[in-house]
Amino acid sequence: MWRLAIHLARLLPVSLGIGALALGPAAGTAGASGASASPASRAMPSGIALTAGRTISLGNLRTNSRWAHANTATVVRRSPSWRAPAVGRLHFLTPDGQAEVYLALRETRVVPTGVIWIDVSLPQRPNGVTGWVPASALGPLHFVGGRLVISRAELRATLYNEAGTVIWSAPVGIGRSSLPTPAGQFYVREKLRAIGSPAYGPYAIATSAYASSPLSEWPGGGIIGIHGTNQPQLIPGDPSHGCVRVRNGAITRLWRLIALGTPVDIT
Amino acid sequence: MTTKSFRPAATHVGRRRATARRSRQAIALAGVTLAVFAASASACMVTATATCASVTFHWAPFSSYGNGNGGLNTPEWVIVFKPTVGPVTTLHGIASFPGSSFSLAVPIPSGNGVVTASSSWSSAETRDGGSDSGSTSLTIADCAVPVTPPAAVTPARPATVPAPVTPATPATPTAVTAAAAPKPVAPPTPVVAATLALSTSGSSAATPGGAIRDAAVLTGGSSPTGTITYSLYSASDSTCSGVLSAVTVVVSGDGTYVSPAVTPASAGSYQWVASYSGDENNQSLSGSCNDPTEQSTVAYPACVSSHSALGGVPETVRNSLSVWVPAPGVKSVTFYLDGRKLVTLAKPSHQRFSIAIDARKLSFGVHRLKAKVTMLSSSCAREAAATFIHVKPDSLPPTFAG
Repeated sequence: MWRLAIHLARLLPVSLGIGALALGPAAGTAGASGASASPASRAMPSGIALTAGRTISLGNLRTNSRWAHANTATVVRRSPSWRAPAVGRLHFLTPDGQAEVYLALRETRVVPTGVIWIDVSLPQRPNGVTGWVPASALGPLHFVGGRLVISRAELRATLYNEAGTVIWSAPVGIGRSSLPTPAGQFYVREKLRAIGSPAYGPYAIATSAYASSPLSEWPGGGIIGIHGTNQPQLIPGDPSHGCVRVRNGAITRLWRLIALGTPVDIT
Repeated sequence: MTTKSFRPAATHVGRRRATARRSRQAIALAGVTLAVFAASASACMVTATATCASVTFHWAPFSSYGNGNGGLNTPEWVIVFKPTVGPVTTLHGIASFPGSSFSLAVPIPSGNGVVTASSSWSSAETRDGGSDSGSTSLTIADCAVPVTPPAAVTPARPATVPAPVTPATPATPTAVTAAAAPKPVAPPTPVVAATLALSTSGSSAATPGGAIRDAAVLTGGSSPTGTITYSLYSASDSTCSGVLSAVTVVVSGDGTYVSPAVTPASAGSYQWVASYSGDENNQSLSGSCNDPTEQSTVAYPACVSSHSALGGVPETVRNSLSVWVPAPGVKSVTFYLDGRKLVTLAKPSHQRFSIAIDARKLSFGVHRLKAKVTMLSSSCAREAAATFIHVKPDSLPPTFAG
């Protein structure tokens, strides 16, 4: 309980609804949904004044971000309230049987219950959905620094570390015009050794992005991955179904450098 | 690129203690209106209420920084009562947990003063490895210790005094008062002015170790010296003939005197009888047997579930895991997986009670481990729980869009 005081104190200059690119670590707030950040007070029937919840950022998605696995398969809600409409549900596993990853964007405490809610980014269709879950529904928060930027215009992917330094860059192949690679703010949700599937090369990295249109032929429902290839001659280019293809040597290095939960900006 | 555990202290700025907000609140209790300041540490959601006999702290669960498994912090509280008159009393308490209650009631000596509750978390109690502490205060007014009416007067009607009157020396009437429901008694015999009064209250909440205390307030004395003896009896001992324990404190003036902690051999209901020895200027006094304000219950609280007590549980498991409970102070451990009993271990190995679980035999998804820990003291049963997610090997063809 005392920790909450610390959180509130440290984040008084909270700003909301501003892109992560414009903010520093102390004030950055990510996510699309907008909860009120203004403090409010109200008198309880007992005469005890309580401070209403204040929303604070859990990362700027550039140099510091946080993620967690699910602790319970709870309903994800549009706002930090048990009565708010559902926007999804937490899952323990990805379609590939790995532990699902949720990018934690913000947290707030609701009075008078005192329940901490965390705004998470959901790896589901449509892209960009965020929602709130009680903090107890998530496991420990993990810190991750840096981000991966994939430029569709330049057909190049660049990995930055937590200091903002480029530590990896490579040309990429993206989705063809009929199956474009979606743009948006995503993150790494699993890392696989792509054994038994030459088309993916040696390694594959799943993102939280989904192909713009449902791809029923893919068991995962059209997850956008970053993976190697057995057709390196098509890179750079736009040969894929939406995934980001990287030459095998490059994907090997990227797979070793990138961490779960790393934000992925597709521009 | 790096990845590491979330440590707020290292990644955020500006730790500072919450500023307590105070709002005036009136509480009616047993015919007495107590004007108290309910203190609320606004940010940390700690509130406090008080009667003349106890103070209750309420706090909101802070699950975000609990034990990492949906559990909650349940710190030990240190309660310091600084009476307007008399010595400072320091008490300790811990809430029964887990459960629906996020509050802790602690008996305090009657009287006006300031109660401060403090608590702290060690790094071992939080899943983020941080530590912190804080406190909140409560001012108690209008709880002055009842003073026996002075004067050689006889009330016009039968009087009501707060507690049984049991003068130690029948020939020299004095009054023993306490903050309990009034009981009708016969009109008191005329007494001399500046009568010494002894007000008592037994603690009702046991510490984790089962220790209980009594408290007595001496008022109206003439620089009293001597001792107060606190005798402990079974609550069923209606004649207080079988003393179980007796402890003594030295008296130096009027004030509040709290007994040393006494730990009964077993849980149950007990009662105290406090006696003042008297000195050359003050008469001896004694409380009465079966005084309802002198009851103490030793109900060993359920110990706090602690994630840290169940080690070796990673968040994700592919093949197997080795789970352990630290052996010191532990008699035996029973492990459960998804509610099914696995094994009970009575002999530790390398200072641990540990088991190995072959996760490959489990379904993919979440699994819940629990350990019921019996302590060597046999008075405290702990439970520790944790979850892990059994995942597939990471060497497989992905299901991507391609």
